[in-house]
Amino acid sequence: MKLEVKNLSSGYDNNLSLKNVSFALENGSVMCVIGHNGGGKSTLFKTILGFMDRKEGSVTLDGEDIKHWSSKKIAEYFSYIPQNHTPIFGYTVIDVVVMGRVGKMGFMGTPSKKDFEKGREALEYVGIADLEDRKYTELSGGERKLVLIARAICQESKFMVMDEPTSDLDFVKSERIYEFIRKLSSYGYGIILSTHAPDYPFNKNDKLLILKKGSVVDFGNAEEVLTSENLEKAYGVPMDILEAVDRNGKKRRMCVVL
Amino acid sequence: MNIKSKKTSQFTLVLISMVVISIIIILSSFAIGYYKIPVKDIIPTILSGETKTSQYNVIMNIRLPRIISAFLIGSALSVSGSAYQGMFKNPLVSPDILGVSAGAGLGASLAISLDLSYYYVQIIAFAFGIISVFICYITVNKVRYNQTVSLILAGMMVQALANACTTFLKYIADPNNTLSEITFWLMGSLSKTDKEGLMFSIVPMILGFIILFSMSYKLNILTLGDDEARSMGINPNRTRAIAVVGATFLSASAVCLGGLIGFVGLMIPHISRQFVGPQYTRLLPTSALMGGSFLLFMDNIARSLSTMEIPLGVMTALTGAPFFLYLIGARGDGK
Repeated sequence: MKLEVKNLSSGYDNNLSLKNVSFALENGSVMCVIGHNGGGKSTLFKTILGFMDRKEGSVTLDGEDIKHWSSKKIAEYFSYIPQNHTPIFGYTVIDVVVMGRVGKMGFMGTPSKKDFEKGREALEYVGIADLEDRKYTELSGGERKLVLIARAICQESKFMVMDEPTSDLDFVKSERIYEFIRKLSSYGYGIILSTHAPDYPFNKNDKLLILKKGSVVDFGNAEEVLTSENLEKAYGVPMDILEAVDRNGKKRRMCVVL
Repeated sequence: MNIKSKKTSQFTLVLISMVVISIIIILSSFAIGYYKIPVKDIIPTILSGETKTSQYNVIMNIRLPRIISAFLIGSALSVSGSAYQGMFKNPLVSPDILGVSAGAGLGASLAISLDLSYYYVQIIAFAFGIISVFICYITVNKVRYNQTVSLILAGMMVQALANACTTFLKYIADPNNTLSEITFWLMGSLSKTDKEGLMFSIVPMILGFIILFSMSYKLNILTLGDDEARSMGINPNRTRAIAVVGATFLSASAVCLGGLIGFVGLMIPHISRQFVGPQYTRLLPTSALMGGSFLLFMDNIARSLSTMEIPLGVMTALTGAPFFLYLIGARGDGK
């Protein structure tokens, strides 16, 4: 399944915070969006998902524009992992995960035994099955992100949109989330994520979209697009990309501000 | 035992306990009052059908409508309070958040000022309650983002407007009779409850219960916020609008039946969550039974503690607030 975004513009009132953004992504691949604060990353996600009205452009899935799709139909193809998620009531972890299946229930529907089985499978998949009876509000930031990933898995949508999934996480927990993202893409999910870490550990076929003030600086294969010139254009400061080999022989790239 | 059946059995236990407590309170409510009736005589008297005995009349025509009214008002306020707290993502919200109580209060004050009968006081209170919520909704209808905040602000303004008008009506009211009647109505009371009044309120009340109970699972999704609800396939504005209709029917009919009875709609949902958690499919039935039995219990005290009936709203606040404070202190956050 192919997601294509063409000349997408959106924003509140006449103030465009996203201008002529275009990219394409197949399910089973990862696209990372980077850019400065207020650069249009969240606006891009919200516009794709229909939370915000688009001013111009198109968002198509296998050629069909999703503009007039209902929330329910969009949820069949896209799941969303928000940047900040602070529910006011202490739902248990399994309850939060099973909520991902609400789009598959009727107006008066409640979760079935099968929905709970799916929820439990998703928790096992992300390795937190032991947390299912815990209150979501009592979990750490990293555990919460994993619960939300489990909820997205439970939703069974082809594409996952993750708004800064590693924000507020320490170095090790961020790596764990990145591992899951790679694992999910190998299972056929299309992943769109934003991050403030331009040295995100890209795989060979990962895509990178660099935004500045809502416009595209560059888009393409991460290895080609992640250059010091592009980073300087996006962040407006001199930057460099250092390359090194770790003790396992893996090539690493690190972005630094000069 | 898996997690779902573990929770279900805990919920069943709470529900059965609440049903038993409710039955005990209902039966004792028939016995309590100026005219003493032994508990063992209640069911035989009802079944006897001897309509001419004074005991039968007291039970069927005076106490039964009042018991049903008190229980339904408590249930309605608690269920609508639970729903409002969820859909506005705010645990401090009570059923009058969109001005339904203030509007109903204005309607009732107006009807009392015009010297209309109790029946018309109810109808006008109900209509004004609904109109207040309608004004809030019309005001924010075009708001696409953050509708929740706009609705709460609109609710505050409608409340301020209605309260100002009510204060003006009290200011110009005849201090010898109308003023005291308005004040007593605003404090909440079931002393004037009769079969006709109950019959008028029961239809919108049942409709409200049906709407909210049938969409109870969706209310959980609204607590996560609009964007997340949308991403999971729920249209938040439409779902919230339906929930507001249900909750408004409940609170407006409760207010027009018993006047302004505060605290129940705020406190009972919190206490219910302590027992069954925040999941709405379990929370609503628990709140309904707990709210109903609590208000009935309070009404029993209000009408039997002294020769003069104590306003119900005063009773609920006097007993509920300290208990709620204890719960917040004992359990940490009151959630």
